[in-house]
Amino acid sequence: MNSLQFILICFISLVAISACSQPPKEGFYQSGIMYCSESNPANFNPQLDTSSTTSDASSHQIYDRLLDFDADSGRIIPSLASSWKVSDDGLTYTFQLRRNVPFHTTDYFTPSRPMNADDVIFSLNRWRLPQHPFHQVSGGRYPYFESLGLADNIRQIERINGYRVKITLSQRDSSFLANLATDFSVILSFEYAEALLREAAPERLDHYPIGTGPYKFESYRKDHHIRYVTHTEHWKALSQAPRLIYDITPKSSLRLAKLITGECDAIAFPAQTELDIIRDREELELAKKPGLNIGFWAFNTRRPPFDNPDVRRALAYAIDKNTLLEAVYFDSATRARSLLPAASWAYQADAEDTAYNPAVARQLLKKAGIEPGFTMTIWAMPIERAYNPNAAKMAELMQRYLADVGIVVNIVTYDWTTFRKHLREGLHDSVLIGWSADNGDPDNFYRPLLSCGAIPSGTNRAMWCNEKYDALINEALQTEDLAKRKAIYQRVNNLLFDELPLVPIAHAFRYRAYRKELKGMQINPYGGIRFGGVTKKL
Amino acid sequence: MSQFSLYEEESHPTPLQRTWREFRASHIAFVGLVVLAVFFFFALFAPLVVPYDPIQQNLNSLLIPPSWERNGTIDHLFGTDALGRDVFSRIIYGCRVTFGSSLLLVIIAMGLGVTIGTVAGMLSGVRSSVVNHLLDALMAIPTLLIAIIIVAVVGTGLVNSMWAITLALTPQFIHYTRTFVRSEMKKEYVLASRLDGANAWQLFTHSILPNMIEMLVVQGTLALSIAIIDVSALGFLNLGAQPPLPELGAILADGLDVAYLAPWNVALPGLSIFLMVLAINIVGDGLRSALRKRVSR
Amino acid sequence: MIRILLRYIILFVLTLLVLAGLSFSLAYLFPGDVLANLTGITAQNEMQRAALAQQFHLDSGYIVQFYHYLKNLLTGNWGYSFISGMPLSEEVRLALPATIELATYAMLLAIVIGIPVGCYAGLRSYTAADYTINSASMIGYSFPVFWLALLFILMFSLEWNIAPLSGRISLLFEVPPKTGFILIDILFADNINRLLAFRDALHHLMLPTLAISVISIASMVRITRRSVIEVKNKPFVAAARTRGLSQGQIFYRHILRNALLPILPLMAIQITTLITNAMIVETLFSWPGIGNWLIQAIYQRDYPALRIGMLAVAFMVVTLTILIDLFNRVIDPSREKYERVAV
Repeated sequence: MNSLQFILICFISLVAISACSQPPKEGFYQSGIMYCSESNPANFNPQLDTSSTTSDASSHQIYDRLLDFDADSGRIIPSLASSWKVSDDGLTYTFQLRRNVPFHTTDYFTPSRPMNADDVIFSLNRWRLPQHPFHQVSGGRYPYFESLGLADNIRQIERINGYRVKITLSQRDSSFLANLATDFSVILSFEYAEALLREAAPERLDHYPIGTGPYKFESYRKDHHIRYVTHTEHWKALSQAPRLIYDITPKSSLRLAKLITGECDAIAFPAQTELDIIRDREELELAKKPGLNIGFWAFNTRRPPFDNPDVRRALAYAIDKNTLLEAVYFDSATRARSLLPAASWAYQADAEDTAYNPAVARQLLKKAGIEPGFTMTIWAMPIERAYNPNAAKMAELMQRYLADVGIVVNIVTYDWTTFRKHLREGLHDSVLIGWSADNGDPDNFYRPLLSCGAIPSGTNRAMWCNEKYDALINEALQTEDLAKRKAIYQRVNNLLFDELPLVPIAHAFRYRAYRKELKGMQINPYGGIRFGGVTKKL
Repeated sequence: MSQFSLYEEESHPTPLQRTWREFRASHIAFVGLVVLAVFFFFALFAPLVVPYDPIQQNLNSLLIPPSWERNGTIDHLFGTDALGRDVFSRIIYGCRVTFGSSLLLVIIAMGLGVTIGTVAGMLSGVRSSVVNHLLDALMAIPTLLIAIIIVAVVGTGLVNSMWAITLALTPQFIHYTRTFVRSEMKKEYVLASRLDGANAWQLFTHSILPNMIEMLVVQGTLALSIAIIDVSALGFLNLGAQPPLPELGAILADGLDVAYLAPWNVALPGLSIFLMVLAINIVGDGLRSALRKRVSR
Repeated sequence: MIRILLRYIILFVLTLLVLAGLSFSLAYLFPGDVLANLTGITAQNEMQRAALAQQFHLDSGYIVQFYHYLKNLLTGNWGYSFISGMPLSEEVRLALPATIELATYAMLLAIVIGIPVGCYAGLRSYTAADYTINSASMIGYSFPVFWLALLFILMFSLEWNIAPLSGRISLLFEVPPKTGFILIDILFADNINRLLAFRDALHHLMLPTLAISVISIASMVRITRRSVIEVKNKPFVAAARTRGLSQGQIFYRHILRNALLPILPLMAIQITTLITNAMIVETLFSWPGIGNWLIQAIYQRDYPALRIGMLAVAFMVVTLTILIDLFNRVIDPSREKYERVAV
C-alpha cells in the first residue's frame, strides 16, 4: 500500500528531526550568560525606581557607583571614588575620583573623555536640584532619594578639580556614605547627557544608558530580553563572559524549569517551594544569605476606618503570622517583630509583637464600630520577592482569617507597573508588600517605609505620617554612637507597636540559584545581582 | 371471523428508540456515556460526594501526595495542594463548575442560535445573506480573542468568560439551524402544513423543530466539548474563573507553581478535563454514527 | 469567475469594515480615556491633548471619527503601546509572523501526517487498524492543548532534556527580525554560525509545533477518514471497481481527488482552532507570538495593544478563511456552497 509507505516515511523523518537532538553544549554556548529575570525594568536608570527589577538590570551591570559594599563583609569600599575624607563635624565629604575610567562606546554614543568630576556632579544634581535640565526628564521622581530626604540635606556639591568633588551636608547623616554605595547612586555620563540635550531627546538617557560598568547595554525588548555585551575597557579589567542576556520570565516555575534545562544559567527569586529541588540537583547551586528585608501588611491610614489604630490592631490580631510563615515562606524566613531584621545591628530581640487572638480582634472591631460583613481590599503584589514569595497565596490565607472575625476581603492585583502606580495614588485599603534594604543602615528601613517624606515618593505604603516618629528617626541620625542610636530605634519600635501602621510579617533569607557552570557568582549583601567578573565554563 | 390484527405483534420503534439501540450496540460509546453520566452526577451532587470543603485550607497538611504514593494518606485520596486543600474535593467541585458552566452556556448558545437561525432561515434574500456572511466572519474569530476582548471590557470572571464562549459558539448553531430550516422548508410536508394554513410559528413548532432535535443534540455534544476546553483554557490563562473558585483550568494553573514538588496538582485536573472531553466526544461520535446507521438502514 | 471574485472581494472588504468598526468601538468600550485608548499616548498637558484630539477628530461625530480612524489604520499609524511605548505596528510586525510560523508548521505537519493516515483508515474502514487510528485520533482530539503542552514540557524538557522549553532560539544568537520568520531570518543574519542557529531554532520549534499539531493531526485524520468513507461508497467507485481497476488506481484516480475536495473548506474552520491553540501554546513556551503578546496585554490592561491585536488576528484569520473559501470555489465550482461540517 503506497499510503502506508508514505506514513512510514513521515514517521521516519519525524524521528530523524528529534534524533538530531541536543545541539552540542560547548563552544558557542559558552559565550554568554543567560539570566532569567522576573520582570521588565521600568527603565535603565536606578535613580528613577526603587524596584529591584530595575536596579538588577542596570545598577551593577551598566553602572558603577562612587562607593561599593564589599561582597563578604558588607563594609563600604572604594569604587569610582578611590578614596574619601570626612571632616570632623561630619558635614563635609571629599571624594578623590579614579582616573582613566572609560565610559561605554556603543553605536549610539562615543565618549571623548573618561569619567571625571563633571559626571559625578551631574549624576547627583540630576535628582538633587529641581531646576536641573534633566530633573523633570522621565517623570521627575527619584523615590529612593526623596524617601530619604537626601536632596534637602545636601547643601552644596563643589568641583575642586577634575578628579575631586566636595559634598557639604546641612545636617550630620551617619548613613550618607552607605547611601552613596546603594544601587541607586549610579554615575551617569555628563557628556552623553549634553549630547542628548542637543538632539532634544533627553529621555534617551534612561532608556539607552551609558555608564562605566562591566557590561554595555545593547538592546531591550519588553517581555522578552535585554542584551548586554562586555565592556572590555572596564577599569577593573574583570575577566567575564562576552555577553550577558536577561531572559524575562515572570513565572517562577518556568524560571526553574529553564534553569534545569540549561536555558538559564542563573535565575531570579527561586520560589520557596522549589528550594529543595535545587538543592537536590547536583548541577545547580543554591546560595543563601540572611536578607536585610521585611515583608509586611500595610494599611492605608488615610482611608477610614484604617486611620483608627484600634482597627489596625484588631486586624493584626486576627491573623496568625506563624501560619503565614509556614505556608508561604516554607521556613525560609524568620518572624518579623518590628521593621528591622536580626542581621541589623539595631535589631531589638524583645520588641513587642501582636499575637494571634481573634477574640481580642472581634472585641476591638466592635469597639471601633465595625459591623460584621465589613468589606475591605487586600492588594497582593503580583511578583515574587524574597520578602514575600507569594503575596496572592498569603492574601488568600488572610482572607480566611479575616472571615473568622467577620470581615470580607477582596483580593486585588494588577501587573507590577500598574500596581505600584495605583498604590502611589492610594487606591488600596491595605497591601501585602515589603522592602529590601539598600544599605545596612537601620535608617534605610525606618525612613523610606514610614516617614512623612516618603509618602509622595511612594515607598510609604501605609501613607502614614507621624511627627513624633519623624523627629525620632531624625534624632537617630545626629550621632555616630551606635548604642545611642539603638536606644532611639527602640523608642521608635514602641511607637510603631502602639500605632501599627503596618503589620510586620517576615524577614526572608535571600537565595540565588545558578548552574555550576557559572564561576564567580556572589550574593551582594545589599541590593541587586552583579555579573561583573562572572564566567561560564561548560 | 378470526380475531387477529395484522399489526398487533409488531412494535414500531420510534426513531429515537432506534437510535438508542444503535448507540447501545457500540460498547465504547456506551462506556463513554457512563463516564459522562458520572461527571454529570458529580456536577449535580458535588456537595454530597466530596469529603472536604474545596476551599478549606488546612495548613497542617500541605502538599500531601495522593493515596497511591508512598507518603500519601487515605484521608486525601488525590492528595492536597499548596494551601492544604483536598485535591479530590477540588476536582469534583471543579467538574461541577467546569462541566456545569459549559453545559449551561451551550444551552444558552443553542437557544440563541436556534432562534436567530430559524428567523434567518425563514427569511430570504439580502437580509439572510448579510446575516450569513457576518456570521461567517464571527465564526472565524478565535474564541480566545473574543474572550480577551470581553475580559478587557468587563473584567475577568467565570461569568464573563462564559459570555465570551457563548458568543463564540452561537454562530455555528445559527448556521446549522439556518441551513436545516432552509432545506426543510422546501420539503413537501412543510408545504402541506402550509397549505393547511399553518403560520410560521406553527410550522416551526410542529414540523421543523421535532426534526431538528437530533441535529441539535449532535451539535450540542460537539459544542459541549469545545466549551469545556475553552472554559478551562480561559481559567488556565487566568482570564476566566478566579481563585478560590475551583475551576479545573484554574486549579491546573494553581498547580503549575508547584509542578515539580507536586506533579499530581497538574496531572489530575488536566486528566479530568481530558476524560470529560473524551467522554463527550465518544458519546457524540457514537450518536452520530448511530444516526447515520439508522438512516442508512 | 469574475463575478465570484467580485463577490468575495466585496465580502472581504465588508468584513474588514465590520472588524475595523469593532476595533474602533473598543476604544469607547474599554475603561479609561477614549483618546488614550485610541492613541496609546497619555496626554501630558491640555495642549498635547487638544492636538491629539484634533488629529483623531474626537470633536466630530462618530462617523467622521471612524473615517479618520480608518485612514490612520491604512497609513500604518496604529498608535502606541501603553506599556512599552513602542509603535503598535512595529510590535505586531514582530509578533504576528512568529504565530504564523508556528501555525504553518503545525498545519503542514497535520496535512503531511493527517491526510495519509486518514486515507489509510478510511480505506480500511471498520477494520482493527481503522479502529485503532480512529480511537487514537479521538484521544488526540480530546486533549486540552495547554495540558498536552505541559505534559510535553515535563517529559521532553525536564525529564529527558531533549528539547528546550522556551523561546524561538537561544538568545545567544543575535538574529535581527527582518521577516519575523525565524528560520528565514537566520539565513539573513550575519555574524552567526547559521547551521548551529538553524539547529537550535528547529529544536525550539519542536515541542510547541508538536503540541499544536497533535490536535490538528487528529482532526485532520477524522475529516479525511470520513470523507474517504463517503466517497468510497459512491456509485462511481463501484463502477470503477467493476471495470477491473486496481485498488491503487481506484484510490488515486477516483477516491483521493474526490475525497480531498470537501476537506479543503473544513481546513478553513481548522484555522480558527489552530490559531487559538497556537496562542495558548505560545504562552506556555514563551513563544514571542501574537497570542503571548495579547495575553500579556490583557494582564497589563494595555488597551491600545488589545484593540490592534484583536484587529490583526481577526484580519489574519478572516483573510485565510476567505482565501481558502475562494480557492475552493475556484477549483470546484460545481458546489454552490459547502456546508461547514463539524469534525
